[in-house]
Order: sequence, then C-alpha cells, then structure tokens
Amino acid sequence: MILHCPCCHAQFSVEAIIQDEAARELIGFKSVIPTALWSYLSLFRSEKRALSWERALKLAKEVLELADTPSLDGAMSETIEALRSKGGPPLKNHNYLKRVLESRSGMVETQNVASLPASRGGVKGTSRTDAAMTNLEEWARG
Amino acid sequence: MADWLRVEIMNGLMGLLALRLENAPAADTITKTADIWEKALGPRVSVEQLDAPRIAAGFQRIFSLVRKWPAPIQVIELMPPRPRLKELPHILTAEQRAENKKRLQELSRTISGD
Repeated sequence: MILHCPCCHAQFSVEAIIQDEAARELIGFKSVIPTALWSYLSLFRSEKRALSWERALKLAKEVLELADTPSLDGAMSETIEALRSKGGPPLKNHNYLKRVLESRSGMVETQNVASLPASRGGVKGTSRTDAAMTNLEEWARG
Repeated sequence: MADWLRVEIMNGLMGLLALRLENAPAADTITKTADIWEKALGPRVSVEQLDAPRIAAGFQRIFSLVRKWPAPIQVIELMPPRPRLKELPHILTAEQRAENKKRLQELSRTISGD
C-alpha cells in the first residue's frame, strides 16, 4: 500500500515502515490489525492508481469481519503468495480469501481428528492419511 | 511374494504417506500402489537378511529428497549395494607371475608388429 507524506509529498510503501518491529509496535498495528493486511490491500490496487484511504478502510473493515486476527493473518499470507505468483488483475472482492479461510479451517479439523489417540483402525472420522496407513497394514498382513 | 518384502514396503510407504507429499495415492488406492511397488522391487531382492536393510535404507534416503510422491525406481536407485562377501587373498606364485609377464611381452610385440 502506497502512502503519501503530507509534509514532503514523497510516496512510500507502508510495508517498508512495518518492516521495523519497533515502528510496527509504535503504530499499534501488531496487536490490532493482522500484519499481512497491508500487503493484502495492495492486491486491490490497480497498476496506475493508488488505493484511496476510503476504499482501503472499507476493505479492511470487511476483512476484519471475516475471521479472527491469527486466522486472517495466515489466510491473507497464503492469498498474497498465491495471487502474486499467479499475477492477473487487481482483486475486486474477498472471495479468494474466503475460500482460503474455508480450506484452512478444514485442514485444522482434519489435524484435530488425526491427533485423537484412538483415531486409527478405520473408525469414522479418521484422516485420509490414517485410513491409507490402516489399509497398508492390512495389505502387509496379506 | 515374501512377507518381509511387504513389511518393508509398508514401512516405507507409511513414511511417505506421513510426509503428505504431492501426488500421494488416496487411501482407497494405496494397496494397488503397494502391489506395484512389490512387483517393482520383488525381482531385485531375494534374501531378507541382505535386502531388507537395503530397502529400508533406500526409503530412509528418499524421505529427505522428495516433494512429490516418488516412483519405485527412485527408491531402487538409492538402495545401497549388497555387502560384499569376504574374498580370499589372491596370491600369485612366482611361476604364474613369470608366465603372465611373458604373455604381456608377447602381446606387446604383437601390437607393435615386431
């Protein structure tokens, strides 16, 4: 996200500011807003125009309503990585982020099921990896 | 096919499954995959005491080398060779040495056309 300095009118990236841990804490981003939000908002910026503060604020409010801060941070990082490597036009909505949040919550559920002590043995609710291992055990026994 | 081979393949494939690699087979097809591994490895191994540790070592090596589900040949290529049998010391008698030397000289003359 590009900022304009009201004093010297220079343009600079907000990501450059929050690289510094102390600056991040000073501004108060770390505890209130997910760190990845700034990079995520940059996905909405067109190549020719800077993102307006009004639009950025609206988008940020929408994002913060989607999930809690830790979940959002991870999901936004994944979204940024995926979309930057893909390229393409600026985002228009949060649909991609919503899909990532859904898939990540699905993975957490799977991991929780896999960590249950009695999850092996083809019991309902086992992970796919666990089920595959059980099938392999049966195969080895003949 | 030998039971020990199936156990080694099971141990190896379980390790690969635990890595959650890309292109890993699904739970309902893993036994078909194991069948193919058994067919691929079977002709190359025969003695449990010699070959079971080699298969385990092959899998052990591949765990840190792959991001995608490997083919059997990748494990086969990483299997160490069988341990060499102890060889008897090869001692030539003086007569054998002289005979060999003479033959080499003859060959050398033949090549040079003398």
